[in-house]
Amino acid sequence: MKRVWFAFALLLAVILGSAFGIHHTRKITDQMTEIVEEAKDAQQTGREKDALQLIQKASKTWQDAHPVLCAYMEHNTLGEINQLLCGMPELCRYGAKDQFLSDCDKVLAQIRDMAEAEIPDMKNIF
Amino acid sequence: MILKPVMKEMAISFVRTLLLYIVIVAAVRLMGKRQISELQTSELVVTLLISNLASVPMQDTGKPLVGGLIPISVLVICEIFTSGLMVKNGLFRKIICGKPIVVICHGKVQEAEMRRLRMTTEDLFEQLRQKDVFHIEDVDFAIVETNGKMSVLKKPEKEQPTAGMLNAVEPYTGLETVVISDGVLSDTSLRLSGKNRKWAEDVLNKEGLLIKDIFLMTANAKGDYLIVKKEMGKK
Repeated sequence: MKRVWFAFALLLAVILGSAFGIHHTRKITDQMTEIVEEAKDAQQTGREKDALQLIQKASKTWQDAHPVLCAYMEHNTLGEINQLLCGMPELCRYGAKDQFLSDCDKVLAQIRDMAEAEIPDMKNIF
Repeated sequence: MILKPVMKEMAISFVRTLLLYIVIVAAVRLMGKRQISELQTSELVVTLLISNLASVPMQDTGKPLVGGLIPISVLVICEIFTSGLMVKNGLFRKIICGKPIVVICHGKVQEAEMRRLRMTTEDLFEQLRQKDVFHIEDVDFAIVETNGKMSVLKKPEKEQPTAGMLNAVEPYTGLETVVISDGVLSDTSLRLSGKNRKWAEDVLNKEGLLIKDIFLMTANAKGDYLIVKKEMGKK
C-alpha cells in the first residue's frame, strides 16, 4: 500500500514538473519573442541604439533563464540560440543591419520551435 | 587547456551515472524483489526499458538528466499501479499476464495447448528434465505458469515418499539462522531462531570466544549452534 501512495506522490511530482516545464518555457519564449521582435523593429526603423539595448536585454533574459531551461531541454538547441544572441550586439554596434535582421529571424524561428516542441499536442506525441 | 573540458565532461558523466544508478536501484526496489526468471512479461519489459532509458543521459551529456528520469518514473508508476490492480482484479491480471496453461492433463499431453504456446516436444521434455522428471509417463499434470515456468505434479505412485509417509519425522528444530556474521551479532536473526543476545553471549563465554573472533555462527530454536572462527591474522 505504501508503494501505491509513493506512486501517487511520484505521479504528482511528474505532472507538476511537466506543467512547470511547459509554463516556464512558454514564459521565457514569450518574453524573448517580444524583446527580439522589438529589437528587429527598432533596427528596421533606424533606431540602432534602441535595437542594441533591446538585444542586450534579450541576451540577459536568456542567460538568466538558461540554467533552468538546461535542466529539461536539449543542450544543443539552447546552445544554438545562445551562440546567435552572443554575436548580435556586435552586429548592431558595427551596423551590419542585414545580418542583424537575419539573425533576429533565426532566433525567433528557433524560439518558436523550442516553444512548440514543449507542448504535448498530437504533433509532438506522434 | 584541452584537458579541462574533457575532465569536465568526464565529471558530468561520472555524477550522472551515480545519480542514475541510485534511481535505477530505487526503481527496481520499488517494483519488488522478484528474480529475472520470475518476472511477468510486463515486468520484464519495464526492466529492459528502464535500463535502456537510463543509458541515454548517461552517455550523452547534451541530453538533460530529466529526459531519462521522467520516463523511468512514469514506467515505475505504471508498473506499481498495474501490479496493484492485478492483485485487486482477476480479470485485469488475466489480460496482462495471461493464465496458466495445462500441457499435460491426467497424464495426457495436450497437443492443442502446446501448439497454442508454440511449445515443441523438445521444449516440454527440457522443462520436465529441469524438474527432475525423466519419464513423461510419471507426470499427472504439467502446467506452464504465466511467467513461463513449468509446474509438475507426478502421479501418486511416482512421487517420492516423504519423511511423514515413512514415519521418520525428525524432531522440529525450527529455522537455522546466521546469528553472527563476520564479527557482527544480528538481533533479528536471534529473534527468528527464538534466542536472545544473552543466550549468544552465554554460548560464547562457554566456548571462550569473543563476538569479534567469530566468522560465522548459526543457531536454531532447539539451541543447536555451529561456530566458525575467523582465520588467524585476518581482521
